[in-house]
Order: sequence, then C-alpha cells, then structure tokens
Amino acid sequence: MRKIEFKKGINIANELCAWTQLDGQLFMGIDNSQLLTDRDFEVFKEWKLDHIRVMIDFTVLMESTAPYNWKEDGWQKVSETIEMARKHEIGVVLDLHSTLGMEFQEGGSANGVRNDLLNNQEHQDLLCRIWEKFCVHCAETEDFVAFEILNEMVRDGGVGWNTVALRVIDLIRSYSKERKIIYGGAHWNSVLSLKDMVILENDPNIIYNFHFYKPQIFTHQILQQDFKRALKNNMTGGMRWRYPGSYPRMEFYEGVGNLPMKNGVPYIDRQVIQQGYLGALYEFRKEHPELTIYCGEFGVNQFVHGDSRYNWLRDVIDAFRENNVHMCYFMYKWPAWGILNPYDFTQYDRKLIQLLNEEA
Amino acid sequence: MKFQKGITVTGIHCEPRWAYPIYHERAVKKEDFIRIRDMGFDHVRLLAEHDALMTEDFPPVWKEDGWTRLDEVIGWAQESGLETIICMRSVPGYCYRNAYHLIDQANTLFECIAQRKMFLELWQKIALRYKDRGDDVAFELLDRVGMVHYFNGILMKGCGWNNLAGLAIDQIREISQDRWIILNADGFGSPENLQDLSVLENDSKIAYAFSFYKPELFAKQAAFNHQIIVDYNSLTHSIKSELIYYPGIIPGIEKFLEKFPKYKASLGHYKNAPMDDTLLETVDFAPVAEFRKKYPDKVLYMNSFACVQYANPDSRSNWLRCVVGLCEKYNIGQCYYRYLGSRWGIVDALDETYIDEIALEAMFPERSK
Repeated sequence: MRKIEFKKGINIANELCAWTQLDGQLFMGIDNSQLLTDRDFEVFKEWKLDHIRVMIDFTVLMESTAPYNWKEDGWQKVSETIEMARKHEIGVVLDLHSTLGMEFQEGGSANGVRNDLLNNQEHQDLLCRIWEKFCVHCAETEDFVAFEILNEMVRDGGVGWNTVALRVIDLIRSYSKERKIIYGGAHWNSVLSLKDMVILENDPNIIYNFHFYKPQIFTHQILQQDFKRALKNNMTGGMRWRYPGSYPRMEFYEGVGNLPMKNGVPYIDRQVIQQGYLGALYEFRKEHPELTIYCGEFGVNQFVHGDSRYNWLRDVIDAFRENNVHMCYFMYKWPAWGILNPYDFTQYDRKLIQLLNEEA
Repeated sequence: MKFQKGITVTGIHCEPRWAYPIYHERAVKKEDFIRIRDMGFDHVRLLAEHDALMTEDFPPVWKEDGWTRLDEVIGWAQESGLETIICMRSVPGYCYRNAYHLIDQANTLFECIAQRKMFLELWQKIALRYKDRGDDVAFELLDRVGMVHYFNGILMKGCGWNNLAGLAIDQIREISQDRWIILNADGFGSPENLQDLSVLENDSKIAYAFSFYKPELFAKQAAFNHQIIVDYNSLTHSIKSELIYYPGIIPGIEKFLEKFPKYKASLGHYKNAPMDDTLLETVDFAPVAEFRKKYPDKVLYMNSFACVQYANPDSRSNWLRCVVGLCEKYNIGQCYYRYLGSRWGIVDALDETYIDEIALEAMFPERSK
C-alpha cells in the first residue's frame, strides 16, 4: 500500500455514523449497508481523491453506560472499511465524531449526557480507552489510516482541550510514531482556534485541523436551523443568499460578524472570505510554514444556488491552495449536502470535482 | 392568441401583505420592461391587487392612485413592445394565498353576494378603462382560483367559478368583443380541473388556462411554505432535506403516500417508477392533452410554471425544458413565474445582476446555442 498524504478527500458516512443508527436509514429507501461499497471507491479514484474521512460515533463502538462494553460488530465494521480502502488504495481518516461527554451539537452527547468531557475524568479516560483500542485494532495501517482524535470540540476548549488532546496524542505515540494524527482546535474546529493549539515541533506526523463554513447563513441556508432562526425573528426563512452578495438585516443573525458595506448594505465577497474569515489561516501559515494544515470539513449545501456555491468554493479552495492546506470536502452522500445522487451514480456535482482537481 | 412567451411581473401595487422585514418587494420600473423584452419575452402578466384599486364597499370607492399606477405600468409594457395581461391577484373575498395556506375563512367570495357584485364591478371598471387599448392587453379574471366549496352541504366543484366567471365575461363582452380573456381552471389552476371549465363554444377569444408545477415534490422542493413540502419533510429527521433529482425517483414516495394518502391522486404513479419526461407527459400533462384533443380549436395557456431555484441545476434544466417542449407540442403559450424574486425570480431580488440563465435557456433554447 502506498503512503497516503491526505491531500484531497471527501467526508463519508456509513454504518459507523450514529445518524444511520438513529434514523434507521440515512436516505429514504437506501439500505445503510449500501452507503459505502466497492463502487463508491471506484468513484473516489475517478474523482482523483486520495482519502476519505469516515465519521465514527462512539455509540457504534461501545455501550454508552458502564461498564462500557465494546460492540464487536462496530469494530468489525471499522475493519471492513479499512480493508475496502486498502484494496482500492485510498487513505482513511478515522474521525471520532463523538465521545461520551462530547458531541459537536452543543447541549448533549449522543446518549443525552451534557458535554462535560473537559471536566469529567471518567469521560477523558474513556476517550483514551477508545483510542488505545483503535491503536491495537488498526496496527500496521500507518501508511494509509490517520486518526482524528475528536471532531469539533465545542465552544470552550483552550487549555483544557489541549491537555486532553495531548494526552490522547501521547497515548497513540506510545503505539506508533508514524501514525498521522489529526488534531483540531476548539470552537467546533474554528479557524480562529488554530493560534491556540499546542504546536508539537518535533512531531512531523501531526496534522493541524480546522473546519470552514463561514458564513453559515450562506453555506447552511434554508436548512432547518436557518428556518427556525428566521421564523423566530419574524423573517422570511429560505432567502436565497448569494455569494458574492448582499446580506441585509444581518442584525437578526448570530455569528456573521461585522461585514464591510457596499451601497449601505453588508456585502460578502472573496476579500471578506480570504482576508476576513480566513485571515487567521494566513497568519497561522505564515508563522508555521513547516506544519501540515488540514481542513477536514468545508462545503456548501446543495440547495444553494449553483453559481454562488461554486464562487464560494473557488475562493475558499484558492485560499487553501495559497496556504498549502490539505482538504476534505463535506460531503459525499448526505442529505442536503451530498455531491452524489445516492440513487444514481451517474449524477454528481461535476463542477465541484473539477474545482477540487484544478491545479493551483 | 399572440401571448406565447411571457413572464409574471409583481410590484405593480404595494402588496403590503408580502412586505417581508428582510426585503420589500420593490415597485416595478420602466426599465424592467425593457429588460424583459430584451430577454426575449413577448408579454408580461401583471399581478394587480384589488385593494390598491378599490375599497371593499358596495358600491366600491375607486382609488384613483392605484388605477393611475396600473395605467402607467401598462403604458411602460406597451412602449417596450410587450403584450400585457392584467391579472387580478386578489379580489374582494378571494386571494389564493389564503386558500392555499388553508386560511379559508378569509375567502368568502362564494358565500357573499356583495363580494360577487364587487368582483363584477371591478371587471366592468377594468373593461371600460382599457376599452380603447389594443388587443395586446388581455384580462385574466383571477389568479390561482381555488374555489372548491360547499353549498348546502354539496361539493360545488367548478360550478361556482364557472358561473361567476361567465357573468364577468358577459359583462366584458358588452364593452369589448375582441378582448382576450383568460379563464383559469379551478383548484389553483390544476390541469385536472380544466375539464370542469365551461367552454364557451362561440367565443374564440377565451384562453383556457392552467398552471404547472408537477410533480410538486420536485418543482417546489425545499420551499418550506408549501404544505406538500411541509408534509414531505415531516417524514424525516431535520438533517434529511433530501434533494430530488429529475429525472429520478422521489425518495420515500411509498412512505409519504402511506402517511398522506391525499397525495395519491397526484403522485401515485411515481410510487413504482422514477420521474421522467414520458411519465410527465402521459400522466401529469395528460389532462392538458385531453383538453387539447377535445377542443382542438380552443386556445390553451399555461399561466404559471417554474421550478424552485433550490433544485439541482441540471434537474431544473431537464424539467423546464421538458415542460416547455410539451407546450410547444400542444401549441400552448407559456408564462414563467416570475420576474423578480428570491427563490423563483428570473432576476434575483437581493442582487439584480443575477439572472436565471437556466430558466431563460429553457424558454428560449436559441440562447444556449
């Protein structure tokens, strides 16, 4: 198996993702076991991708109450996924998408316990136990399997999160010095958190990770949360935000930030994306030219107007290329976000694939 | 009928009910008509609001400002070389928005004699006011009629609308024999309701109209303020806003029809087969084809059609091209919904430099050459 650099990938969900467990079927009428097959790996090759990022929820791997017994069928699925990837020479990022006491949707973990990982020693021990199991289970796969220690640590992180992350990294290093480890900052892997991460100068196999969807009012538009926010504010939900474009009445929305004005109306364009929202990336790269930086999730939902979606993607991908950022698009097959029609392999977002494959 | 390729234009009157906090539907301007003409359209369908033109008294008090505005807008269209349809978007006692969103108590046109009289007064006034305009001005009596109602416990499908429309047509004919009049099918212009329209054998200047958004789960996908979309989304978790491709299957159609059997009549044929041009023509468009076969000499008009811009671009293009192709095949004039808007407009309401090329290329295939 060739050594994978994890330069260009796509996020995938199979039976290791809790959504498929909770909802019975991820797509109406498609068996979850058909979400990742040999045919899909052929597609990844055709699209010139070198890896997939597999979302794994802890509830698939272990019982969520003491004594936290392993679920062998979950680990079997991990093995099957890895073997399929090996067969097709595609790298795999094993992304621990949740753990007991931390789930990216703030307010609770998958079993209803509030996010308390940073304050709960038992939950931290459990996180280490999960990764120890991965180290053993995935031995001899360093060339093509990377470990992402935790997806999108929520709001509070900083020192507390770094301490937990470093403990996990030390543990993994006790099994392998060569394993690629993906480590992201707090605030849902915000690009702004890159500067707060501990830099492990002597470890060339650490990959520094962030996620990028700014501004969410554009990338997540019309999806459920946007509706709720809009309705709460007595606005029309489902506005079709453009990019580049005007964003009137932004006082109704959270987290958009202070935007420059054009003709008296807030306006978002390439400059705002690259110098504003992604400014922290440019600074981080300038300060650490030697590090591997990875954007493990970025994307625009598929209901967004085609031209606007491609304009945003082009500007973001250009910024990634300028900063030598490895990238992983969100998402392959997924409601509202997936770039492949899960019912028909011939229908996919060709223009996006072209953008991903354009030379810098 | 000359009206072959048109577009619906709003912003004639202030339309206060549609004034969203985030953007206000702006008033249409003279330049818009020049732009519309330059896009290739031959006519505009102007949506007028009754409350800008009259009070809801009997007899009504006419609001001169509203009429002057309508005169001005029609003048701009004519100066730009566009034919014009004056379509009443609302009348005393009826507005499709109330019917469609099940606020039925607001729609009392059929129960209220005074409102029926006001409807007739309004059309008499329009006919008189525009009597001397050429035949490039047509009248559309009421936008998206949804008049299915009960009288003494009996379902009065179509009858009420036929009677009222018939009276309005008689009145217009007394003033103007040659005026084109567009008569919409009941059930919000549903093709199935074309068969319920009273066809006026001896009047050659009536166009029988329908709207076309079938299957709605595709054409209106993710448009959350439509009941069918709300029902469809209720099947799934919030993350599962599935895209629906055309051609392609409607995900979960079986489960959907089981939970909402009221949609079986309009969607049952997609239970075991994917959407494609053949099914669209042979089932969804079939009532139109039947009407054409039965009345080969009558004029048919598709007064409203579109695919929401949330849909996958290729799928939108495929569907729109198919629908336009069917209209060409059956000799039917078309009117795209709409000029300015955020989800449906050919011109984007938030940034008017954006043009919906997919819709334009579907209507005018020569644009893509």
